[in-house]
Amino acid sequence: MTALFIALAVVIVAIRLWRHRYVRQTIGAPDDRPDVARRAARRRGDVELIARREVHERVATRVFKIGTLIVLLGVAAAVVIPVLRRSGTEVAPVLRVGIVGRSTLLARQTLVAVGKSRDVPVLLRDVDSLDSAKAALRAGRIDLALVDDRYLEVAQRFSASDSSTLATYTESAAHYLGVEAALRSEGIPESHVGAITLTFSGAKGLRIGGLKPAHHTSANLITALYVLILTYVLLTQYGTWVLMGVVEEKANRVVEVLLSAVSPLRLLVGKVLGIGLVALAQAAAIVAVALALGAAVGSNLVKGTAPEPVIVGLVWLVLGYAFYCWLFAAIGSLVERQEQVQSVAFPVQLPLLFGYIISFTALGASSPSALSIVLAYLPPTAPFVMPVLFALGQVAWWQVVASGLITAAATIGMARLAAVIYRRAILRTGSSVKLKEVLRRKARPLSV
Amino acid sequence: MGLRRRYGEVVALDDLSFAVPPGQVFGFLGPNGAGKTTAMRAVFGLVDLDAGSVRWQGGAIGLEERRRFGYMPEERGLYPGMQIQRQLEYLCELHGHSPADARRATAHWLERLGIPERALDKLESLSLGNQQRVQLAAALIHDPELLILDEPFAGLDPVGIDDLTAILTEQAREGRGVLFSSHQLDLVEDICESVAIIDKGRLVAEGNLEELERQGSRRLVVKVEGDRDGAWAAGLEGVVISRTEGGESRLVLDDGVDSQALLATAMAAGPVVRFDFERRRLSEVFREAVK
Repeated sequence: MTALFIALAVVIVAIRLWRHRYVRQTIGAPDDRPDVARRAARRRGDVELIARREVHERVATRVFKIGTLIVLLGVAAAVVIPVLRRSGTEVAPVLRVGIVGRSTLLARQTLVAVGKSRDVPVLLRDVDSLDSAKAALRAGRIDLALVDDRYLEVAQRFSASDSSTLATYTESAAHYLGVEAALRSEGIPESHVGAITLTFSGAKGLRIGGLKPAHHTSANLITALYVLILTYVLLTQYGTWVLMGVVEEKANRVVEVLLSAVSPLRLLVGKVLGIGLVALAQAAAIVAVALALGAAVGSNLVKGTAPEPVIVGLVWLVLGYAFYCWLFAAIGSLVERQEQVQSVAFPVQLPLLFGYIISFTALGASSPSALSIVLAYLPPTAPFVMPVLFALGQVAWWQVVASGLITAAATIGMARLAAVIYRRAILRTGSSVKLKEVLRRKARPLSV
Repeated sequence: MGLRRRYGEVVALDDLSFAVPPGQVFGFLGPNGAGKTTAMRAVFGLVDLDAGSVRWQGGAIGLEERRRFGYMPEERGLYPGMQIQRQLEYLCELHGHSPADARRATAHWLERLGIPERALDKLESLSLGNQQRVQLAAALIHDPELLILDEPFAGLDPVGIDDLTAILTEQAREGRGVLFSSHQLDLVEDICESVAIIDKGRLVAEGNLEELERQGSRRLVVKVEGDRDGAWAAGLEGVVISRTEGGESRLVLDDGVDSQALLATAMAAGPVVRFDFERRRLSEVFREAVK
């Protein structure tokens, strides 16, 4: 959370410094400055100016303000409602612990004491055999079983980030019971063990067995789901912004006035950069609100989530935008009127939708399918599939980085193609321009 | 110079060459579809030319040069939902001016065009005439060295026409080149010092307006009392009655026609109260050039 704010602050300061330098360069530029340097400053200045207009015009609209508010409220509801529901069902839960076989008084006292320290009442119940204990666990009659003071058994294994009451209680109990067992095996009398346990933390905790493997009902699954939905909604929205922005300029013919002063490439880059900045700020605000609210109300989203899945999700949102924004801009330049937007946007939205659906199916699977692994490396679908697989712990860091590099490389190719299409189609008016026609025309070098 | 552009079978520009002198208001004329807009767009690199190039002060035109030109496209184009002041400042900065200069220029032109109170309004909330003024301001805002305006008078009321006329004349007097296209030939005749007339993408007439008007067949205005329709001149060899108005006949004379003999014929028809050589009107220059 703090890191996010620091990162935002650094970005703002960097932009301010850059602007300050640019203004000095353009206003106070002496005439004998090398031509190349002046032109480079000029190029940067144009792109910045265009990007700034995009940011200002978008942020100033009522649609943006209300839209952002609605999204933030939606996110807030998604964070708070599960907590409210959970607190409704989990008010003073009683943990029922079955004791199987031989068990010391100290172990029983420890089980109760661990519960007390967490404000969870613990009910101990003797079970005559391991089989009966397993049956009781499966039927939900008990939550946990201590077997011969040697190990603990639960109905379902916990995932690494499970923050449920049962998981945290069991892990804590396993720790203390493990320490006690270690001290006992060293021959320390039971009457002393209790006092020593408090200060001794070197021993291994008791093993926790599970009748069924862990599945992703945990916080990471929720994080993956949130990241997926957010990526889809935001990418679709920001892509549409770029598309509409290009169509608006073409339909209003303002593009003729603009292109009499700047090159098509700078206009295009400024536009996608400006909209991208607004998009990034909005996405950061959404994540910040979700994390802050999650921390405030004690949501699983924050308690159980390592920051990595959220960061990876944000990075992929940026990569996804970088890849798709060019596509939306190129498509927009082919359109003559705003009414045609829906029909041309559809083919671009298909891969978005496909990646989204595939990622949804991946959420339910205990291991990734071959299809989802492949799609996690394909640039059009990677922004959805890869963060989900990462959040579920099904891919390693290097795989995320490799896929990111592939997408970044594809983005460069996509940007070049989009720039050619945009350059050739943006000034062609009178009717919609066919993509084939645009690509068939003789190539002309792109001026920057 | 030597501009060529084809759109499929249609020839938009066919070896078109002419020069716009600085410090003059230059009229760019031609029938609909003659290629005027294509030629003007070519100046700003908005058209890919098949051959030829547009040159400025003897050199090729790049982005840096274009920034010093002002353009008003035929199909007006600005952001409808953007504040006028911000829009003009943005365009001024885009042409390489500092934010402070842009603010000053915006205030100046909004004042000059009589719409300072609309500075904070969105463009779409203005009447069409006022939107046209903003469009003009957008072309002038960065103090261009060359102004290229495509049909700037279309859609203006008489007051707007007077304002624009004054501005264009003033811009030329300050040494800038001003080129505009128009179908309102009387207006062009009043404002312009030089014109170029194109037809089917080709240049068919060019030069100083007075010289163009002096060239070609002689024009004679004759008024013979009691002969309102100019019947006395009908059927005379080498004489064509181009117009009769208010009892005056405007005659176009072939080279071989003897004006003194013509005067004698007129006097025979009745008392001659006017017998006056006139220059060609621009409309006549135009019609003869594109026929």
